[in-house]
Amino acid sequence: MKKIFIIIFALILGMNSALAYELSNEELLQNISIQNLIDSIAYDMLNVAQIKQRMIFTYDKESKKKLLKCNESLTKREILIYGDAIQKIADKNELAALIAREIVKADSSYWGYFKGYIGSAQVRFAPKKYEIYFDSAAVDLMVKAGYNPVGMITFLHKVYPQRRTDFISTSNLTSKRVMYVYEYIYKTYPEFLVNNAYRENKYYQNFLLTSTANRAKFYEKMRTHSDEKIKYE
Amino acid sequence: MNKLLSILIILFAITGMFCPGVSAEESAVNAPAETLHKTQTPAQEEHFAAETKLPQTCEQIPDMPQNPLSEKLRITKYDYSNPLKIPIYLHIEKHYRTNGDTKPGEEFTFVAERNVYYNGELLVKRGEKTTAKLTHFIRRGMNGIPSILILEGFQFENLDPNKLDGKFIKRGFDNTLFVLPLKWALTPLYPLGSFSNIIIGCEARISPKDDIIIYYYPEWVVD
Repeated sequence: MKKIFIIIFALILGMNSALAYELSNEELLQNISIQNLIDSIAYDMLNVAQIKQRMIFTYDKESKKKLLKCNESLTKREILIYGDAIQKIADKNELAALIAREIVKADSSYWGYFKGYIGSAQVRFAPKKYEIYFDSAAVDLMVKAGYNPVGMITFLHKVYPQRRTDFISTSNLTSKRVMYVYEYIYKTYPEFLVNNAYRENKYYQNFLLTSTANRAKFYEKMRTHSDEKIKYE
Repeated sequence: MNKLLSILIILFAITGMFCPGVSAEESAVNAPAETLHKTQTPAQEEHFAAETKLPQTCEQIPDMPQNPLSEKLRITKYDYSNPLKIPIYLHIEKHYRTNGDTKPGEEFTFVAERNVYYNGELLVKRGEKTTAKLTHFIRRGMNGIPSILILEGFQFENLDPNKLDGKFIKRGFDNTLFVLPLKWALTPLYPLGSFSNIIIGCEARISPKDDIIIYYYPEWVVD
């Protein structure tokens, strides 16, 4: 029996050394350049939007955690940008969308009693309520920092999967969220849709294709000057 | 039996050491976006683009507001080295309480309570009115989550809006303060703890008696 334990112990030691991973120079430089890009966009946003709350940004290439589940934004105000998320980013506007959303979330973690503890808990157990606010406030942030907010549409459209329903769910349907962002841009920053730089973008075109029914409802609302809230699908 | 067990463990460990850390499916998912896109031929891409291309006017319906707000918002140069800030005391003109009809875009009127001077110059006169816009509104919900109003865009005649800390957030009373202890206390008596979910948060109110303070940073360089 002793021998078995010795063998297992030796194997565990061996496995650890075999799995030890050393970054090559190229990988290290790549990680540094991505981290610098994230920091550059993020701190520019914080300065331009005059956000007085402190937060940091960390590029985490190795993490295999669920995509965009950045709860550290609420607890430690450390915004983790995972390698999985970066892979889906096609341009700077989309990266800005990802960062802006997390900045708004981290900023909101300072609200409420006990230095934001209660407010953060609310965001944790009822994220559905806050998602639409995070998306639209992130659009404001992007515009202030000089990015095209349509990037938020393509970002959400590509990154978040589509569930069957959000009736009993902690998050909204992605198609709803994207439409609320579209509606917000349409009402608040329409010049970005009139002179749409994303007109030829295949991801944006796919959003237009998949949101035909929802957009028809929205255009009807605008034509009739209705105040009723649209039930997007 | 022991030998068999040890052989199995060794085999398991050896296969574990040499098998790749990431499965083929995972590596396909984690592959750079460019390599994934290349699976589609140029002809397929063209066909897809042609099929999905919509008319140029699809988003330009007659009532689209033409609002070049984003250009005004743009800040390209900043220097926040001087921490000097001047408080501006305001109160709302009329009592307001959020309700089912509250929507972003509503305007609120505020009145300055005191004269505000800087370097002997009158910046804000007592009684001067200013408006702020409701930019975001989070409705109250279960678990005691209160309504939240976010007002922005305070403007005064003699003040640069870029130097104003012009964001005012008003939350309703947080019933979560009671909900969480109640939930924890009732959790052993399953399922009573879940009933605390139905406690709704309070509406946000702004009363003329509320002191609202926003700060002006006269020495900031913001362009």
